[in-house]
Amino acid sequence: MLKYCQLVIFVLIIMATQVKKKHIPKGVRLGWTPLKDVQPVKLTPELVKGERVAADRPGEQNSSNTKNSYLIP
Amino acid sequence: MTFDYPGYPLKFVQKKPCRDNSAHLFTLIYKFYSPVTRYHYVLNADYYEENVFALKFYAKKDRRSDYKYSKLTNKGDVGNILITCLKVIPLILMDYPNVSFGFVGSRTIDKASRTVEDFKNNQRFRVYRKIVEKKVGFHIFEHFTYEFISGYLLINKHGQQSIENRLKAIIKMFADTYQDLPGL
Repeated sequence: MLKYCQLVIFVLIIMATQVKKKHIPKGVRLGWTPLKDVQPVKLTPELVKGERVAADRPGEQNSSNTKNSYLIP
Repeated sequence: MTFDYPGYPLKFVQKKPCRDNSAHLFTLIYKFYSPVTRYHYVLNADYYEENVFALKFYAKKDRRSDYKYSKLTNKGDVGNILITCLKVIPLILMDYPNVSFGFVGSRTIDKASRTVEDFKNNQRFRVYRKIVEKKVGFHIFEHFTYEFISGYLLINKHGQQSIENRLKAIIKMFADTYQDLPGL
């Protein structure tokens, strides 16, 4: 009983002395824009420039497993 | 990751006409439920001139929020939810066999820091791109990505005009309809 109480007290002391890590929000870590600074962006042809996705992706398209798992052929 | 999730049943709700004199002509509204998150979801397929649907979805609880497409529920089940959204494509193709599809990854809002993600190559787009690459083949659609606006287009190969012409027309239509990328 005494040893149990000693163990509990020991654990409580350890928990109290642990330095709590400050949680940094994801938006701050990743450098996102503050909501108050958000502005609309005018669409231009330079912005709307697309890339065709290649059908013959290496290791993917020719794999029978990949073809079988397609939801839409 | 193979995204081999079964998804959930989609229920058609209604076809809602759009009378704002824009290129957006009507919306097909579907709903589904996730027993994992215990949320109901609404999936909107907005039909535009140039024979293209834009797919959007949100949790029904957020339906009145201006940020409904940007919110995170943090309840998980993303695989089943996204597969369910993709399952609408073959449903729509039954009635509109030559139609194309597009979707954009919405920017995520971080409530804790009151910040918002960039337009370019955002986290939703990165996930959508991965899942589409795994689940949508090249027999029916040509795939195009627009990283700067986190957009993805599936252009239907079956159509009277060439893919390039239809792609240009769709891009022009969207650019004319949505001349600004909104702040949010």
